[in-house]
Amino acid sequence: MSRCRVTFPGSPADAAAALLRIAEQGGRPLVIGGGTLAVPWLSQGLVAPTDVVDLGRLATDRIEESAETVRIGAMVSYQQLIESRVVAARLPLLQRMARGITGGIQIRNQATLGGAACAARPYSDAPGVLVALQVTMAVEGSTGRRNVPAQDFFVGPERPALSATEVLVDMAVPGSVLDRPSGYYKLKLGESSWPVVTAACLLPRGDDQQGCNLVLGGVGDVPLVVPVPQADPGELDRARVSRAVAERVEALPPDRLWGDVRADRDYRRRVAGEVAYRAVRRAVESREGAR
Amino acid sequence: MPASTMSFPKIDAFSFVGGEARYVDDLRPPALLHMAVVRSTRAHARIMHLDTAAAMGVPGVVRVLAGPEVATHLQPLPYSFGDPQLLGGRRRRFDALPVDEVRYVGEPIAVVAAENVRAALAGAAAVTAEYADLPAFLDARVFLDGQASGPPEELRSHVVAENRFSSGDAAAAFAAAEHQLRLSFSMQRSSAAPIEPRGYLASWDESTGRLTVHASHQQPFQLREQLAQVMGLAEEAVRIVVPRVGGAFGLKMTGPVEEPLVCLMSRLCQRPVKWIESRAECFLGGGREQYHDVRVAFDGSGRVQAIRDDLVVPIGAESPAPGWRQAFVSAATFPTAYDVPNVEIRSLVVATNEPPWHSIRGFGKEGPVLVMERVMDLVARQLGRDPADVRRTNLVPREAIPHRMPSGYLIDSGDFHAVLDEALALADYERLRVQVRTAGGPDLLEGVGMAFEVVPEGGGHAAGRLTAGVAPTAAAPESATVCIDASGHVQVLSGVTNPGGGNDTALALLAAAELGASRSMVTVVQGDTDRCPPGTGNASSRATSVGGAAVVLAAREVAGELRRSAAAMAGVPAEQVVLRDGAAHLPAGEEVSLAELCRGIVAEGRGSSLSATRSYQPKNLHPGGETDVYRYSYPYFSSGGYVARVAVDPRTGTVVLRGLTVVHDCGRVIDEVLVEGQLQGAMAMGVGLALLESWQADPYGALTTRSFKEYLVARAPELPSFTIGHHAVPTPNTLLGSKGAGESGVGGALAAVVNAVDDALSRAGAPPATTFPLDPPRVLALLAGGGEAP
Ligand SMILES: Cc1cc2nc3c(=O)[nH]c(=O)nc-3n(C[C@H](O)[C@H](O)[C@H](O)COP(=O)(O)OP(=O)(O)OC[C@H]3O[C@@H](n4cnc5c(N)ncnc54)[C@H](O)[C@@H]3O)c2cc1C
Repeated sequence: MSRCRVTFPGSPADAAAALLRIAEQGGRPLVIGGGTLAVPWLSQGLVAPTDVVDLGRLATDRIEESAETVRIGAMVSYQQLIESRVVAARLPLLQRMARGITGGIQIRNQATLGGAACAARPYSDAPGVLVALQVTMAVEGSTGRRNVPAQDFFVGPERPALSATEVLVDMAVPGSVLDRPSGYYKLKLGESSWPVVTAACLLPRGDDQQGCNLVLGGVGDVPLVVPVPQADPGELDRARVSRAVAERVEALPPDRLWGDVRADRDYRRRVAGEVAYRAVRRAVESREGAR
Repeated sequence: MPASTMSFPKIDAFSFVGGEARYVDDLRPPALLHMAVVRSTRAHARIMHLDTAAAMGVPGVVRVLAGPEVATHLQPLPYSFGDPQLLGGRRRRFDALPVDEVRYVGEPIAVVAAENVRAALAGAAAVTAEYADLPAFLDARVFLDGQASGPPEELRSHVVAENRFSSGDAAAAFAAAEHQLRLSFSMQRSSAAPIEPRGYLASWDESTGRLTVHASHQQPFQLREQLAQVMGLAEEAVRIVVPRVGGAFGLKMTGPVEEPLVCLMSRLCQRPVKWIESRAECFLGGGREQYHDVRVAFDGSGRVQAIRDDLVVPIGAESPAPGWRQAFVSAATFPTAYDVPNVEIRSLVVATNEPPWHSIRGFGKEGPVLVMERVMDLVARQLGRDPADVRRTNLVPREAIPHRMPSGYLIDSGDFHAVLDEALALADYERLRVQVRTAGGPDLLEGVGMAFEVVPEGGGHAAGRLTAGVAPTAAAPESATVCIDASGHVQVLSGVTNPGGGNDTALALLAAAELGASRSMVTVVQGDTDRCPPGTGNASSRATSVGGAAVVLAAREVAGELRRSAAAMAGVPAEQVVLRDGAAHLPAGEEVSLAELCRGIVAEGRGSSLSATRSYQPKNLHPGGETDVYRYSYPYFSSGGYVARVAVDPRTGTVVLRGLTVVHDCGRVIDEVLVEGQLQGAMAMGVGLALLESWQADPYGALTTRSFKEYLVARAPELPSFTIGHHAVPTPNTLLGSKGAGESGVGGALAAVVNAVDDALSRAGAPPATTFPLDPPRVLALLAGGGEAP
């Protein structure tokens, strides 16, 4: 562990510029959002950056609702998601996910949604939910801003689609997924465990022609979108959902299945259908509850 | 005699919950240095080269020590708790740091002292080592094959001890058996995981030649003795002070090499040096792992005629710390509470290239409880009988106690049938048994399980007949000083220490009761070797039963003196003076406050306070009719009946614990709140072992469960509120008739929960659960009909 410089960029463009400068000097940067993962890495000596780029003053910690989208800043904490009236009303899936984060109020206040996305861990809640919500990730680099669909943002385990000179700025939730009945199910081994397998489900709004979004986390090394047969959601029974999940998982090359110290690939594959079904069922229940 | 503490709440609870309690890491003397440990990255290798030059170049680094230099300063490390031969074990030499060979991933190979923690860690990271790998021995299960004929030659070098205990004629019983079962059980390696990891602050004073060590520790006097020996100091030159401790569970006994190393560093640097273990370092330690190949012979009534267990206990790398001794205790505790006429236990204790065992709550006694309780359930299942009846058929009856076990351990007291029946009644077992069969459905499998636990306690883990050439063993005493000063303030100084559970409250309560003092009049001092009389700290569930007895004896002596003084003042016989409510009450109805009485005694010039020091040793009784002579061993056995109720989600393998009930016999209950606090914690640990806790390493022996996110323990939200009852059968072997609380609960809860899950799974057609913990992947594998997940 050596000494490192710390910078506090005031805007995403500043952050990208700082990262470019560090890259040009051959430095090793560490971007810190809420720091709930990155700071322990530092204090345990697991990373040895030359420069720390702290996003704490980026002013990207707002949730903004417009006619078309809900835009969530990268530095929005889980607690903000829990308390936001917009999220509660229009994105209950996100709120429910945030409520289930462990670690207590300190973690929920400090840990950011953007940090969870950039950490891109298969054993976490956020990636699958972001993919289910068809979020667009806004990424700032030295050459400007680009938009990445969430599904493409998760490239591999702990590998977000970010270069060394880019930061995540915000996540835009499209109008097409707002106000839709949703369900979330998380399977973990114990109260304190990281997630093992998660499923997020969005049902069509009313009788419109949208499909059902069903995304699994913790089965593949990135979130898996499961194509669901066009059926009346009420007919999405256990067998149908499990079949759809099994087909999706079978299509995956074995080396893209995820396993870790908590549970091997085999277990995840075996429970995936059931976890997905439970998310669907919760979504159906929430729709019926709303009627 | 005190009964309950409703009016005597835990003395220092507020300092713990209010954040005022000071732990070793809160101590920051001037000029403090911080130590970091460089650890081996290889499971087994020759050290070809160790380079510390770069570390010395790290700003802030003051000193780096590696094996060769350390060896010039420190004596070899002594074995804790006596020679290994007491347990049939081999002896080897241990140095604080290795010079040419590492034996596990995580073994300390150098230590770095620096001006701050960061610099120390940076210095440690800058130490480089070159290794030549040697074959690593990581899976002791190879010993299971052909164990009867003895371990194969090429594996013999791993064998640390062979422990064999037998009674009756097992071979004949098997030959004549009506029914037989053969079962294998694998119990996982697990870790103590206290909230506060280990930590030491060593301060060498060159001018006085004295070493003061503040340590988060369980056994200050043992630490003093061993540090003096390793450092080449007189014991009087070493002072150990134990501040508040945030849990110990066995982890904080004497033996880890950081103990002498931090002291040596302080002496060499002439500055105070602190070492605080990280969470990942803390998780290196482990214990409890064992593999059993069990054969049982029984008749149609479920009466077990014979049991044979070939067990293999991998203790990690050999170490002078006491952890490995638990292997002996596991074998010696068979067949637990049951009266099995023919027993053959053959245990191989083997060294591996994993981190050494540390002691863990239960001290080896929980493994045999798990095995015997699985056996009772599976015998019952084979016969289609109620598992409660099979237990009743086999439990040692009250009238057969004292009962000598095959190992030589002596069950001193207890009423197992009554304890079991009360537990079943308290849990409403009959109703549950029906309910779990009718409730549930395809989405939920319900199960109920029971367990009976005995826990040998009080210190004395070696056992056996005292024949020619066998070294005798003796009870370790505890001591206490009780004094009362001119203001009537009572101070209790004890040789037992408090790992956070609150035995200080029990000691205060006992002293207060003898002296007729109130709670606010008593303070307790523990854990300071300069101030307290010697003792064993906290170990083997004896702080209150044995340490408390010493307090009572000392307090009685002081009380006698007070009574005599009051009697002399009033001109009445001393026997007529009653000490109560902070005063001496005289027959005529007058009273003299203790403070006044003490002022009088002090004024008479009989010292500045009235004080007595007494020590107490528990005893072993010898059953009538026994001709053989045995070594001194555990003086008392606590026991308990446990009932667990679970619901299993068959589609994910997740288990929810719905209820856990115990009826416990710890002899006379000195303080119900404290006993139940111990039980709550021990049972939570047992639940964790049944369902979650598992130490894991990669194929190269490197720890993968480095934090509480990988090493999962049971937390409050997943635990039901436990139901606890008491059934006191006093032991004849302690002054107060009290037995232990602390270790019991781990094995009982573990076995009851496992049996409950197995009950649920068996009705869904799963094979018996034999590999633990029963985490969701394993439960699902069992439900899939067969092979268990590895
Ligand atoms: C005790 C505890 C409990 C937890 N429980 C859960 C749980 O139940 N479920 C779950 O899914 N997760 C859980 N987490 C993980 C938690 O979600 C993440 O720690 C958190 O969301 C990461 O956000 P952060 O802002 O703290 O990230 P940081 O630690 O700041 O950063 C994490 C990574 O993302 C990068 N990064 C952060 N922000 C940006 C950005 N804007 N642009 C580019 N890169 C960035 C950093 O460089 C780093 O690599 C838990 C964590 C802790 C410590």
